[in-house]
Amino acid sequence: MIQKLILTMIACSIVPHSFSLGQSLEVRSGDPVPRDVRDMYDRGLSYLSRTQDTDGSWPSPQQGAGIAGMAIMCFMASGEDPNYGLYSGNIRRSLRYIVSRQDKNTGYFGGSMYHHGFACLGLAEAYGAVDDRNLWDGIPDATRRSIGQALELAVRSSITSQKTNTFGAWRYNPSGSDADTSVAGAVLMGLLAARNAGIEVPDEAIDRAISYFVKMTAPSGQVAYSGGVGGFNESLARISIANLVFSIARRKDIPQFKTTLGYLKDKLQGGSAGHGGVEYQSYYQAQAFFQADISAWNKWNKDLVRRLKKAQADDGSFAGTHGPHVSTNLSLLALAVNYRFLPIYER
Amino acid sequence: MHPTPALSLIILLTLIFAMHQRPSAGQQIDAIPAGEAANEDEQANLETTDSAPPRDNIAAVQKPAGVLTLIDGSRISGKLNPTKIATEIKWLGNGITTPFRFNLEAIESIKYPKQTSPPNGGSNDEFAVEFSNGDIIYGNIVGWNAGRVSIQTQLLGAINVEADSITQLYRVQENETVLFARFNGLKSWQTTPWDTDGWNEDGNHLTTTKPGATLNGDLSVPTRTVVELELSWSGQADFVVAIGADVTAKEDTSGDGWRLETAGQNLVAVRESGDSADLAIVADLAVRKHLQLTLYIDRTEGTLHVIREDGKVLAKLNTSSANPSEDTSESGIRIINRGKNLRVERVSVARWMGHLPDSASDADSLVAFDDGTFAVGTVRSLDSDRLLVGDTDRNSSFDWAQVTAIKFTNPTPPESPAQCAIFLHTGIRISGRLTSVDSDTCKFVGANLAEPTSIPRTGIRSLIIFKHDTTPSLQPTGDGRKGRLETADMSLAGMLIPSSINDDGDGQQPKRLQFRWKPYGSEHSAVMSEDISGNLVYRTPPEVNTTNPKAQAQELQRIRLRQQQRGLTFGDLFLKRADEIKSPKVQRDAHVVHIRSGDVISCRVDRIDEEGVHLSTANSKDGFVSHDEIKAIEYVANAPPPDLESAKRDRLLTIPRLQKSAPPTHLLCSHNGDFLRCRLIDANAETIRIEVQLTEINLPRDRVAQIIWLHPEEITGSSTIDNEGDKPDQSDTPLNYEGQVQALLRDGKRVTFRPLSTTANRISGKSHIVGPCSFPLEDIDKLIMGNQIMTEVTDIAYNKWKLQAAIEPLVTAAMEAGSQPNGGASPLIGQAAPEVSLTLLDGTPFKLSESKGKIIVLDFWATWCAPCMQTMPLLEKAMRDFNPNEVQLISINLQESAEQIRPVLERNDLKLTVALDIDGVAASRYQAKAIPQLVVVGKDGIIERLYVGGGSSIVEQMTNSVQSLLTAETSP
Repeated sequence: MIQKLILTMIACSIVPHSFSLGQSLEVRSGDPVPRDVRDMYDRGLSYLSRTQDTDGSWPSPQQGAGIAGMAIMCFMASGEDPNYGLYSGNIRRSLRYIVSRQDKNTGYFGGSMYHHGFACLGLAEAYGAVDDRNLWDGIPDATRRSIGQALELAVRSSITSQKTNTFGAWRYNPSGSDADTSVAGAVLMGLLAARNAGIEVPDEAIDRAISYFVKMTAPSGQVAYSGGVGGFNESLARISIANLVFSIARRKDIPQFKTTLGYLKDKLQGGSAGHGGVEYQSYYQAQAFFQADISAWNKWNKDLVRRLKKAQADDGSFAGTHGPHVSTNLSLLALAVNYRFLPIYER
Repeated sequence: MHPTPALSLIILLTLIFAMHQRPSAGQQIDAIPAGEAANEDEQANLETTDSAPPRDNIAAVQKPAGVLTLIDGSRISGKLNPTKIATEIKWLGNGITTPFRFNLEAIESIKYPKQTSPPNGGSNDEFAVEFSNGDIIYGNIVGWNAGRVSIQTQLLGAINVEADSITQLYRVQENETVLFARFNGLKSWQTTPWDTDGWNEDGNHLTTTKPGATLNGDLSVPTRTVVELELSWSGQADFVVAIGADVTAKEDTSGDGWRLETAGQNLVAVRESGDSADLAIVADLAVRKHLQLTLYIDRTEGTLHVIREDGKVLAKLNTSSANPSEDTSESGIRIINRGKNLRVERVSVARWMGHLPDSASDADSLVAFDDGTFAVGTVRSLDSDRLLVGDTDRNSSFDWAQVTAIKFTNPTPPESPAQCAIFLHTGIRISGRLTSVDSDTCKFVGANLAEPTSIPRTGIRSLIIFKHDTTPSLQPTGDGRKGRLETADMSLAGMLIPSSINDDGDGQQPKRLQFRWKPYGSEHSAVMSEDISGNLVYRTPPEVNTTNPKAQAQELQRIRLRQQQRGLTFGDLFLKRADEIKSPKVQRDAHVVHIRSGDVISCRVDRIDEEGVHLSTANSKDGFVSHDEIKAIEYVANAPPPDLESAKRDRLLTIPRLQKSAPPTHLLCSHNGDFLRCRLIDANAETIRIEVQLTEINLPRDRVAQIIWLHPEEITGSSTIDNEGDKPDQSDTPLNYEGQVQALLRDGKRVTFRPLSTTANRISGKSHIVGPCSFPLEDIDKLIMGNQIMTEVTDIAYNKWKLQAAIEPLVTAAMEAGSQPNGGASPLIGQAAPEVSLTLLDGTPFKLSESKGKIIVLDFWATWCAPCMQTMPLLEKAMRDFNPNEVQLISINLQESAEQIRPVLERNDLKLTVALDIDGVAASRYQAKAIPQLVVVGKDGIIERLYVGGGSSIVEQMTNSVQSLLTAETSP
């Protein structure tokens, strides 16, 4: 093990990077990442690394491709080299797990469209950054799809599901006829990331999904869950999702972008997470603020760091609504904006 | 043989016999005989044992933990330790590492908790044997010879007792003659319309100190009855006892029952019946505090005899000629306390055969048999199951198996008071002298026992000491100040004995001082455990007067200053207003820091950083208080803490529901009485840096009068359900004061420190805030030890400044209540549907009363209600299955404008008949407190179903109910 580590370190130092990172060094270097954030992040990654099963999954109650997708992003966001770095093995195992879960005909990753969306997002972030030429070496009876192939297939699956949906969005079941803004956010982010990575995604698909979010946004800035405007309760997670997809789809021009951002900025602290839990809220809030208003993000992020420092367990994990693996992934990804390594975090 | 006196005495025997039945294995020990077994004080002592904390249930069975009480009122929970010294008790108290050695004569009692079942059984004991000194032993009588009786007991084995000290013995079994003898607590006296308010159970006595308190019970009083009554009181006797009273009577009347009543200092027997009455004086109670009487009542003959315990007839009543048709079926007894207090020690009711006792009998003993016969004479022997009874003429031999009781008329009185008495869980009471204690037994010389006996310690319920040394010789001697050590396990008068540790100063695991305490009655001191938590009280501190006129005046001034200002952040507003009134001229460096433990430190606050507050005191320039420990800083010394009327303070300290995840951590108070909730980042001599809504603000320090810390773990009311994970941060651990003490000084100040040494008159230690400290004991009112410190600080300044979480709305509860299955739970069901007269979205009017002949489904909704919006497409679809001429859906929108509603309907492609309930009248008439609410109104205008909540299952239920209404209509 020690020998392998040393070899990895030597390799890092002498082999020039054959794959570009999602974002150039000049852009990502702003304020240095504070030491305490780095410590917290590293402890979280160590937890994820230690608890990954050999097949690339995590033993979570919500086991599935989506968690592996989130974890890929966590590992990549740290800045460690995805091919030779400390977590390259974890990343490759996760990728293999995701691809092996994919239905070769429909492209669906199974579990639910949540898993599909997050798996798609994870693949898109890895696409172009991870050298997958040897991804399947030594794996007998493997599905030898490349990251690009799997991602393309997954995108087609998302679009097919959207086409059969009366709302032009997504629900848990790929063939569901109704929709909700939470699942729709996960799938749309996957599509947007794939488009950013160079996979062809029809504009019509993005536009329909965006128009769904527009419909679901009330004049107050609150975003409904399913079935109508407004919402039975405040959900900063849903408002953040809507605001984020407007940003990533480059639709900051639409009025709902401003109303949702206004609502979020009025609730820099506190507020209700809705039913996804506070980690889910933070995951989307971090990206929404970062994309929409960097000074608001600066303030909000300081509070996030303070909260997470208190919440992190001794083993590096974060407890939460969906179990430690999902909560650790979401919490780390909320922090990961500090690193700005992930393409999807590009401004 | 003397049949006549024996016939009457047997009734007495029956009563005695019944009154002293021994508690069975499953019965509570309440049934320990009291009147003869123990004096009143003993009994009271015995029963208060119940309040002793059963600290260790396992130990209670194996090595019982009990409470030792000293004659000065001190008490200490703990365990008996072995000793061979007859004059001492070795007692290892809880929280004490070495046993105390108490002089036996300083001890009042040792008591153990009740056991639900006696550990050593005893249920096979056939006889109860009572002695003239009050002792009682249960066992089988196996021999009787030469004035000695051999008793085989389950718990003590075989014992021999002196026969002439026995007052009576009787078989422990039921008897049909006795109707009521055993106290069943207050349960026997709970009859409508009376209650037992004011009465308390004290062992098997009932006591009251409430004038008018009444016992009214149906005790099955027969037509001919013997009632034995034993009462006691203090002060002037004043009570009523009515026998054969109407238990259902709503109030006590003079004609109800055969009565004993006090009249002045006399007790009189009274009977009023029809037109006549009879009255007789029973006794003069001027100096008496106790009464034991037997009443013989024949209600068919109309006679009453009141007889004293020695057989003397005290009073007779005869109302035989008054009203022969009197109803003799009333079976109650009523006892009313009219004086200061009354103790009912015994009430027993038995059938009476009609013969009065003859006091002329001079026989030594009376023997009763199970066939109702009897014998009088002198018991000579018991051998081979034959009892030999002799009189002046001859001896007679009887089958022992047929003997039910023997009463001895002239037992030898006890020679002298015993040193102590031991009560066992089985009901046995033995008095005598304790000689030693070993690990399992107590060696005991019983006053009535021929040989010393070993009593298993697990069987002992209490040890009561009678001989006491009340001379000052038992006081701890020395120059030290005497106080009282109070913990959960003890309240022990005594004094500190000098002890000390070295302050090694390594700061890692500092040693803890173990106090030594020498209590009253102990010749030795014992070492307390180092984690002791409690108080050492030297003087009860005076109560602090919390009303402060100066503060009230300040508050009025603050209210006058308060103005509404808009357009500024809270931080700006605070600062702007703080600038309006410049800080008062104060001594710049005279600050006061309040610690959560109650310590108040006069100092100079140098700076505040991430770690805590750095300060200088007269003794130390590097004082430090962590954020966890501090409660408040006053930048103006000697100014009162901010005072707000409680409603305002509550508002200020309430965290809104959606801010629970980010509660403020500090409260700043300006000199002019403004408050700002914020997070304090740091501070120096010039500036205080805070964060409000994640925005940093710098405040000049001289604008701030106080800073109050709002600790997250102190937030009250945060246990309300919040299923979305928005809980305030509760990760802060509670403060731990193990190994520390807090001196509460005569001037009311508190200083918390780690004690390092005690001498006879002084305690010294080291405070991590103010450094070394030392106090004369005479300046200390109370020394609070360990974690008791945190429980003592409820009344200190700033303690009421704690955040409270806003109450959660009851939406969930309302939805749950509304989701009753089948929509049949509402009180509106079956009633005529209230009129709905509204304008529809298209402008046409709608009146429900004009829709008779159609089934109308009313759906109360609003565009902001997500469940409503989810349900409406389902409703619209469901309605398509019905003929619109038979069933119509009216969607009643709650208080929204047409402009708000139309785009929502369009966006969701809903084609519904929407009525506008602009002022909410319709919703109010249909009690629509939670929406969606669906109401099904039948063709006759009666409400058939009402559903609260949305979703497909509700829609399905509603559809089915409409369908069944239509079906019922078409059925023949």
